[in-house]
Amino acid sequence: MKTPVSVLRLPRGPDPNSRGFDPSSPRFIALCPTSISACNEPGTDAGSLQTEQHARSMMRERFLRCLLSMANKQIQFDMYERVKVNATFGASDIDVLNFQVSDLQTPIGVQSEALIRCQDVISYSFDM
Amino acid sequence: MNTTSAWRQRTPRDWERYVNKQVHVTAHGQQQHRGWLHTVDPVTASVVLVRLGDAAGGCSVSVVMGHAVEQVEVVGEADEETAMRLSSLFRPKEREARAGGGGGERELRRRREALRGWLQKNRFPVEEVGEELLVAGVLTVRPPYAEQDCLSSNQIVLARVQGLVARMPAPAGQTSYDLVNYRYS
Repeated sequence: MKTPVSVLRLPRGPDPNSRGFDPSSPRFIALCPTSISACNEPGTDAGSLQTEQHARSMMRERFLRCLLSMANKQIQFDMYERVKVNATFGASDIDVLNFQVSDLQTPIGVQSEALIRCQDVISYSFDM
Repeated sequence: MNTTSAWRQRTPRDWERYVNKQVHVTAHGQQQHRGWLHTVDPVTASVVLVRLGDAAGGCSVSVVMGHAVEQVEVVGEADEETAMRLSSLFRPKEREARAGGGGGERELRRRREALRGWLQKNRFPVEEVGEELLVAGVLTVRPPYAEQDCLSSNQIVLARVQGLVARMPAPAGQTSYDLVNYRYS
């Protein structure tokens, strides 16, 4: 009889019925500061909340479309400690904390698939 | 004061003021970036900078991660043409360009009628609102009435209707000559 293997319980994924990231998840609280500042200030009215939310949606939509256009393009990542690497962009996670890339060119060889932590990245660039 | 987190603490209305401006960004490690500010991501405060090429459309894009931004300085304003180019930069091809290739007004009307009939046959209530179709009160189909022209905030209805649009059969009674097999179909 084979030795039983302990079951690996993965953390729960995002709620499939919700529209986006979960601001109460420990991961989000630890790694992404809140930017809903209008809610935190006392004395804000519905009008200013609405304009703030409009600004947020407009800017987030532009950013998401930028991410979409990066798919399958060659990106150059500038990271800390003067590390510069090239890779083909695959996808980003919803909090923009990790990028999935292919053919990551590193000084010790090419990684066919890799996850890059966005916190290690200073900037990245690509050509349209 | 920790300068790197100061940028992230700004409000979205502050960030919005930098959109469509030419800026100079200082990042960690004295990295300097210059370009047109396309957007600031409200979740990570990352700054998307664009350097526009010639009018043909090539351009290069740099994104500075929010946690690495130290300073953002405005050095110029965009004129109307640049602002238009910036806002349409990552958008999909204009609908009009696709609709124009389809044969004009009559063709669009025919497709709208065909789609309306098909959806109603599949038990979806459809209403014509101007040139658009309103499906079940929650989904809008714009010209030229293809799968990617469906708009809805309800993802379940969107998926079902897009599937239906993709499976819509060619209109009955329309014969065409099949050049591969040399016959009418």
